[in-house]
Amino acid sequence: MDIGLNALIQNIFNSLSLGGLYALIAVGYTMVYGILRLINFAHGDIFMMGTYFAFYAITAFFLPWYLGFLMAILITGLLGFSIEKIAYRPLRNAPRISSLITAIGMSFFLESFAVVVFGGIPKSFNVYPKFFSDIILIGQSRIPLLTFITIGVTFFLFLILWWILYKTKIGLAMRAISVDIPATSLMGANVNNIISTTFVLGSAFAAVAGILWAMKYPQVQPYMGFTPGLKAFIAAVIGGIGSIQGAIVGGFLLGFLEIMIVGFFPSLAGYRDVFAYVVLIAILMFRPTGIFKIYSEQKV
Amino acid sequence: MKKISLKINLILTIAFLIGIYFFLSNVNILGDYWSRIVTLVAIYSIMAVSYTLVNGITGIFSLGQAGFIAIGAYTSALLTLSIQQKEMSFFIQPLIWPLNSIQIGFLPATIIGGLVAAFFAFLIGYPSLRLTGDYFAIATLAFAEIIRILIQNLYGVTNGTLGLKGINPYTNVWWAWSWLLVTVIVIGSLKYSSYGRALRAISEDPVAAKVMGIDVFRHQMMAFVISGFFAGVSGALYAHWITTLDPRPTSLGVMLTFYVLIMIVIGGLGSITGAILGAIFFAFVSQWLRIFESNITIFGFTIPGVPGMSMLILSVLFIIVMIFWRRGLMGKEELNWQKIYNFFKKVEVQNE
Amino acid sequence: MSENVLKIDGMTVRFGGLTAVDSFSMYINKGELIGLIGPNGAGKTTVFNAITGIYKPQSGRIFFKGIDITGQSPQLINQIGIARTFQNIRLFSDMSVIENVMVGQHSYFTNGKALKFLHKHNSEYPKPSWKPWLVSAILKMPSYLKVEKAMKDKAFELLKRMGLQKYADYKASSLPYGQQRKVEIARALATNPSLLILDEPAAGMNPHESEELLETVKEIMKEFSLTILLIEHDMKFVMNLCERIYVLDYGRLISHGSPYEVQNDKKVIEAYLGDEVYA
Repeated sequence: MDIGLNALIQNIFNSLSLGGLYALIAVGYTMVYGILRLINFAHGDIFMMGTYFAFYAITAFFLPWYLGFLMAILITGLLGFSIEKIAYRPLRNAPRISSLITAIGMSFFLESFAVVVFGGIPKSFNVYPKFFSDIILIGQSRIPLLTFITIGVTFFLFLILWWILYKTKIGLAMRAISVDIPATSLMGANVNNIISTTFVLGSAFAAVAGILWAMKYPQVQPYMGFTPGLKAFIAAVIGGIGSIQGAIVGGFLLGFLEIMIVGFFPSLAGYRDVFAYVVLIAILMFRPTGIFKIYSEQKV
Repeated sequence: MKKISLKINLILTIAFLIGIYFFLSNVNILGDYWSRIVTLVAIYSIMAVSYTLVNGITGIFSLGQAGFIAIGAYTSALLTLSIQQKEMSFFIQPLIWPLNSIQIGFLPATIIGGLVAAFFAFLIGYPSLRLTGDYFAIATLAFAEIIRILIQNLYGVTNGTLGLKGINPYTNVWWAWSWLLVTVIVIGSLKYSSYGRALRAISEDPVAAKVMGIDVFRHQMMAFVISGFFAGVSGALYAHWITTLDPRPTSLGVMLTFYVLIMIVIGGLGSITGAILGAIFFAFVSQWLRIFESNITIFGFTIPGVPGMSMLILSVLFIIVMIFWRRGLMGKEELNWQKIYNFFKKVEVQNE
Repeated sequence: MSENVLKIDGMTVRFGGLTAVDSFSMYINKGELIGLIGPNGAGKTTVFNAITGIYKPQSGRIFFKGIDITGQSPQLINQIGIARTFQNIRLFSDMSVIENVMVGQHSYFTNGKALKFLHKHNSEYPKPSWKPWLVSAILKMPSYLKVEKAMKDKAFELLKRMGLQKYADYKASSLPYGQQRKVEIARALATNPSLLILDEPAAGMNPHESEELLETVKEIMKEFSLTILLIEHDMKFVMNLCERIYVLDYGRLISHGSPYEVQNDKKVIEAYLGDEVYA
């Protein structure tokens, strides 16, 4: 049926777009967990901060949009670096629960900071060129250019990530460290630098995701990072926490799940967020190691 | 230093309780505002003490507290609201039977609120407690969010995003502090019993506890369910203090769990008196810091208020405590007369 | 009922691709003191972990007093009579010494499942009757208080037996190493075992301390009618105490017999000294 096919095509593109955003954020979670065994609760809020940085770079400092976005990404990377150095590094040898609690505190801090400095009232994120919102016609389906841009940027970034991890020395070190920290440092690698790089990279990706997200749902508010962050973490768990392919696959899976379910059962729209949570609980019950199993049994 | 005898301990404790009774009887001298704060302190304390049973004494890191508080709040409110009130509020979808035709008193409603929350704690704990630390935290967080979203969408049960209004303001200093007394006695008695020792052993080394014959899963469930009950009770008290309920994430969502987490971290993970001190600290600091949220006029200059400042300062404090002072005020131990005596003796010796 | 307190039949334990224990069999008779030795990494602790239910073997069976306990939970196995200590002393460090010992007695309140398990195997065992201990404990009812006092007295007796009574209220982690080891043994004894498994009890002790421990082990064995299985590297300890010895190497049983037989077994000598010949 005509309308059905159009809707399906639109939904597929939306899934790819949303899935790509989840994947971008999930990669940050999984890289940090892979190395530090820490769930960086503040990652979703770093996503939020990236968006605000872009917003203010353009509206307060009058930078052109491309420079504003670039500055925001760089500053967010710096933010990730600082958070690790100030709040997580001192607790690296403390019991895991302490780092987890601190990460929660950091999340809370970023949200309160945003409320105080940026204001709690949602702002409209119309700081990008108008033509992004143009509609492209594929047959009879109407798809905004933004969706294509999102998908394109996402894939481009994953290519860059692949290149960093497999074609550079620092990437090799990052992969080594996620297996064994002491051994890697014995090999001469500077563990702190590698960890910092991971945070910078993950935060930069989150900033990109934030900007793309804000253009799509054109509104920014201090708590916007909580739900996408949680879902992206769930995506990372689905894919197998610690595995970067897993985070990417998990992100797209979750995006598809969300869009398709609401597409076929519009009455369930209010429960949109719940699907991810239900999948999480199911995965934790039946296959906690996720799709790409990284961590297996631990010896007592 | 001299050890305080059991008799003196008892006398001091009774004197303390009498002092509290006296204070509560006359708290309305301080005015309506401070009466409400004193009540809120007790409600926060129940939240904190029930939370520290799970996160502190048993050592399982739950992020689902807000879910149980919300369940207790909604259950009790739906039971105490008058039938006419319910008909008026539920105009999108009428309230389901039997809730739409009953109205019961505050005490039974609070108890039922606690029991329903405990029941959900049982349902949630059963699958979740099989998971290790980090995953258990996320699973409980997911469950709490599921609860909140269900509340948001089930208009026929909770009135969805419209929320509940006009809840009878039953909660006063007496209800709140009596329930706090019950909570402290129950959880305190649990902590200082064989079961308490078992829970503390589990929190330190679950494998060693197992080979000493302790069924770790069952004991964790026990703690989780008891905590759920009192969280539900605190929710019921809260609902009848604040008189309106809505399922926004900032009021009954993760934010609330964060607040309680702050209380027990500052007070000391695993200490009941610490949890109360943390709650008092949180209540007063958040009230005091509220000053910064409205305009201050000094010497004719008006410093503009900054909304949200109190939470910002609290979160910074929280992070500082976690990095530099992880054990908090009391650590795992309780404040008792011996410690207070020792403290003053030490000060005395230092000043000689 | 068979004379064997413990019988292991062809047990294999694997971790992913690594076979830690391979078709291992052993038996222990009531009242014996048996040693399990072998070079580091031979799989001795893995055997202990399998017996006590921490690992589930991929194949093979473990029998305790004729009852199949393979794959049962650690708490059930402890409640029916097997207790252990750990190689690297796992006391509850934030709790006091006497609290550590009393934790071992807690299963008195919660042993319903174990009693049911035993009763199912052999109806001569008593059927469990449920008592609301949790409520009694919270309400501090006289029935509970009586039991708790008895527990505390017994715990104190155990500490006295091990010479630790003056440390009763000390934080467990504040004790010197040798004393911590004794607390762990006291804690294990508090669980009322018939089979006591000790994982390198003399580790980290000087000759005087291990002498003392040796005597203590002999005494408690008599006093509490225990059967004991131990892992040890201290050869004097093992040779002096054990009636029979099993030797593991790379997860396999390579020798079994009296201390004299094992000492002179060529395979055992090779296993221990083999590397040094080529060093």
